[in-house]
Amino acid sequence: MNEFIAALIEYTFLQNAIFACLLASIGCGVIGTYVVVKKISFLTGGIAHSVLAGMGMAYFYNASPIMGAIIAALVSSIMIGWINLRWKEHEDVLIAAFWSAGMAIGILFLSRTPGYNVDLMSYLFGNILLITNSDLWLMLLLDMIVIVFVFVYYKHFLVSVFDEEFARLRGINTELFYILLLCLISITIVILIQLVGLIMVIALLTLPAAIANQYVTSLHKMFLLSAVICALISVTGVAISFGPDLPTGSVIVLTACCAYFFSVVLKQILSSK
Amino acid sequence: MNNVVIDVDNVSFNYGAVSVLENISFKIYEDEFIGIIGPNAGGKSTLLKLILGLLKPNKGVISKFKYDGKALINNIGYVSQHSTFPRDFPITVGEVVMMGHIATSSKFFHYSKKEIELAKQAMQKLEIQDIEKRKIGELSGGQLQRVLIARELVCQPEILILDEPTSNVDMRIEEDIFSLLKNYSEHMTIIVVSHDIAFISSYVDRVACLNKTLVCHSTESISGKMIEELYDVPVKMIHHNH
Repeated sequence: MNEFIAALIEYTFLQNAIFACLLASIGCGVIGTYVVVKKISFLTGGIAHSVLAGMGMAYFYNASPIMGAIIAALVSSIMIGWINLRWKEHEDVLIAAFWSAGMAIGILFLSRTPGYNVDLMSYLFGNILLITNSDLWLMLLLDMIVIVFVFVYYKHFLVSVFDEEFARLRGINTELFYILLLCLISITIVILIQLVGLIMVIALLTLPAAIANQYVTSLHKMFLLSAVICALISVTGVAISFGPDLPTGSVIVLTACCAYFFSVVLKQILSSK
Repeated sequence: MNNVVIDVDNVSFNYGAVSVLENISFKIYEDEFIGIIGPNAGGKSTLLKLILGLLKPNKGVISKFKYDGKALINNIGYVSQHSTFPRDFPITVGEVVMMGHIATSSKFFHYSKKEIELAKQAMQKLEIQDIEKRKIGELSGGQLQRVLIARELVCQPEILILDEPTSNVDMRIEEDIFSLLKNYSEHMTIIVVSHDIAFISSYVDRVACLNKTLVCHSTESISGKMIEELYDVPVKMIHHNH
């Protein structure tokens, strides 16, 4: 641990990694909360994987992969949302289709791109130690977008997520808020991809919020608590992985799983008393 | 006689090839407390959804006069039979009741003093002010039903529609809820769907019996024969205490 703190003071890349964890935790806490209470983790997984299509195309056309990711995430969340609203009974099939089609398109484009795609691995599995200053600024910007929407329309999101029929009867455009929520989820996915990669993004969008959900009575408290939990988990993951030089994304995800497991056990013990 | 607030005129509705309602005509008057009864799958909930505008009739017209269009939103309250929200949702009783203001409330987190005051009044009337901070997952069926009624009352609707409001609660709570509705019905139109004719007839002014077609009765005239016609089974015993 002392070794990690010494390194943290010395190395900028490690400081950047910790900043990235904190920035990601903001989006993760707020949007993860909605993913958990609306029970759409697999839909979120589908959007995350379809992002590869955008990244593959961006590589092929020599554009910025992260911009490709943002565009692909937004396009796929709007498409999934729109189809899902009209075809609800086949939601799982729809998710499977987007999940795999996104990956397939991405790999097709990548196979036609010359050169060895080392960066691609970091988008699939995350590489927090390579995060640059400009990545951090982008994460901050995306966080701000998410926070502004969620805070301005807090009541509308709450009522649409909690009780759709009631919301509709009171004249709330629930379909619009549903698609807007998916768009915010896709923005958060892009933030988190830098940390743990698109394959493992689903862990950070569900587990910290699920831990928080066991101890709170309100959505806004859940935002805060899951953001704090997400920050603790990701910083711990970075610290653990640093010494033995393990893949950071994987360690963060496993830390999240362990934390979830212990919180469930702890809750059982607390409630049985 | 009071003014007509809802006029259902010769309305038919079908889900695909299945006819649910046939040539329904009736009028609902201001400040009336009307009960709609009938067997399961007799079209009771469908009729409510038609009145609310959640469904469109295949034939006929439903006039809501001054409540047509935008005014509907805050003037008709509706408590559905099966609440569609997850019971484990992290939300308190107070927050659910405040939701009643959503159509007119401002953006961001806060509510105005007037909105908070109206919610307090509604919670006091339904005697749920002591559980304001509780999570909804910890409530009993009767408490939850009171919370949902309070959520409708915060925006002071002129018409309150309830679909089987007491299907998940015990007899004593059922009596509580209906006496409360009875009080409200002095200055509010209340439409309540129930399967329990014997029980509701001691509270409501008028009963509409619905099984595809509809017949209206004043509560004094309910007889065993009428129920036989409606449910198509012999009635063994019905008590009325008017």
